Amino acid sequence: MTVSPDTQMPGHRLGRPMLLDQLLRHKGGAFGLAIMLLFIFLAAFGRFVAPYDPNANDYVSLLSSPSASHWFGTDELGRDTLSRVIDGSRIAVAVAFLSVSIAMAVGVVIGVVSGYFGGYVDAVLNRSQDVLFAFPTLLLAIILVAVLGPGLFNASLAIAIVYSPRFARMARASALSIKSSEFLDAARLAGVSTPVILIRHILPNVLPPVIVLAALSMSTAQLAYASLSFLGLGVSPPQADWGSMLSKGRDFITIAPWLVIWPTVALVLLMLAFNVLGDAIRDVLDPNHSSIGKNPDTLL
Amino acid sequence: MMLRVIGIRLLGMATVLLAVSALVFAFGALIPGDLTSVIVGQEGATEEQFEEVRRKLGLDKPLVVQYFFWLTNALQGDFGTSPITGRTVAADLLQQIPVSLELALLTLLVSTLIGLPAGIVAAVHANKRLDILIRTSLLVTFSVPIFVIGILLLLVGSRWAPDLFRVSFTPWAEDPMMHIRSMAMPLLTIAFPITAMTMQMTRGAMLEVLHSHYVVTARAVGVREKRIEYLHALRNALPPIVTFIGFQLGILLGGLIVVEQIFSLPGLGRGMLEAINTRDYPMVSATTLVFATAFVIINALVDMLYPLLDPRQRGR
Repeated sequence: MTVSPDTQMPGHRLGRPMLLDQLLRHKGGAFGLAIMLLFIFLAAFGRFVAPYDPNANDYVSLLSSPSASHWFGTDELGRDTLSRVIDGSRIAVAVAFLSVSIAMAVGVVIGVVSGYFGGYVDAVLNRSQDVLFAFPTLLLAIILVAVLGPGLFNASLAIAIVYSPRFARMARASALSIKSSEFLDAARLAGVSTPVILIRHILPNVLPPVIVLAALSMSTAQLAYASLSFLGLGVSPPQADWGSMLSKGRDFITIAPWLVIWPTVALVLLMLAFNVLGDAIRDVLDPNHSSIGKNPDTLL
Repeated sequence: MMLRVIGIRLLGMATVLLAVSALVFAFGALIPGDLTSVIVGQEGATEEQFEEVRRKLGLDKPLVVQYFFWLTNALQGDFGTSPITGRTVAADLLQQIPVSLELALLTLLVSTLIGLPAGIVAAVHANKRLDILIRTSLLVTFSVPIFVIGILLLLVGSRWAPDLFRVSFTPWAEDPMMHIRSMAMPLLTIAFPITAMTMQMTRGAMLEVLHSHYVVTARAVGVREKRIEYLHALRNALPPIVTFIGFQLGILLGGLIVVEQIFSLPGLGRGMLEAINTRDYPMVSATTLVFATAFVIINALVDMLYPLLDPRQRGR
């Protein structure tokens, strides 16, 4: 991988075109980006691309195997699997971006406040996060969905709550490390107010590692949602959704294997794309990372 | 000294457990609806009947008081009675816990027996063909959620191993042979990713140690290569590997919930999901509490194991 020397500076702010340029030159980055864009395209325009209405029943062709008219076959209500897989990408992409964005926003605010102010505030925030860490991640997500109720936004919110402490820890560590640097002393002496210091000076330095974590979290967030949906805690039927398609397709696995194969292919492909893209973004933003113990706590 | 460290750790664990129990109780109280409406039912119940039931259950008292009663009862193994099944929650837990526990222990056993040696081999042959093969398959495994592995196994099983496919759960006491057959697929499903993780972690920890100065020295003075790899290096790679069990545990417990659901095993995870669906509040709180408590206690045990494996950590 080629990395220009100035990106090696910790906390260096990368211009957007430069990041994109480097990602495209990164072998995995280009691949991950391409697949992800494909799914985003399907999520946005799937309704126009899909051959059928994803929720239209066709009682003439129930559980029909893949054919010219139904490339991926149909399910027990005669719904077209291809159209449902395409429609399901809306949910998958939306949950991944929504949950990670919320987790990042909440985590960064908590982490920066915690790291910058320290003391009592820091202690309280840390202890309350420790309690969240005391739950296995999927268990916490399940119980949060039970409390919040099902649905796209609530599931995303549950996943975001589960993930936000990681972002908070990372942001806190960065904020702590630059808290006493000279340029901040200078800013304080010049009479810059605390909110401005937090937003203009701390935040930009906290963001690069947080962005890496966000990129790496996309795949686990998507996976977490798929697990919730598989367990019956996702969006309500008849909305097509890969996890619930798998859970339903399990009942017909001997006679209609295509019902589980295609959602699986879509799910794994998107996850792989998120994974590879996340690795690429980390390689670009943080070239000196350690490869050991990488992203160990996935949600399943 | 050692005792003091353990004492502090135990105290810390107790504090976390108390906070966890409060959160579990709060979750139970926050889940929409309440126990009274489940018991009384929606139709034809008068306001007085509602009040009567609420009083009986103690739901008319402030939440803090309810929490106190719930916790003190739970500590004595009394989680109340399920309004859905009419059985005591404790009786159901006693049925469910052994199923989940067996699956968890078997998974740890299998993943360690396979993952540890495989990880060592991968580290010793780092960046050679074997290692690259192992690591590629790991990348794929990490990209596949447990329920997908389960589905794929069902798919393969329905074609090639009908004996293992769709065997409904049979307790050991009833028929040991059937029991083993009914546990085979679930075990395979959950052991797959956990083994991959053990392997990955072992490889990483071993690689780090294999490049350290004392291994270079050992090699320089002519200690045999196999002895270095399996004695000197492994011994020092163990602490991070053991720590990793803490990480794994969260995934393992979550995996139990999923696997029990796929294969219809009557364990704790399935019990919890069922309770959520039927709004069986005492059951939801009890199962969540058992899961979280197991997680906290085992993590604390792993923490305490660390100084035993790494002498540098002692006396701190």
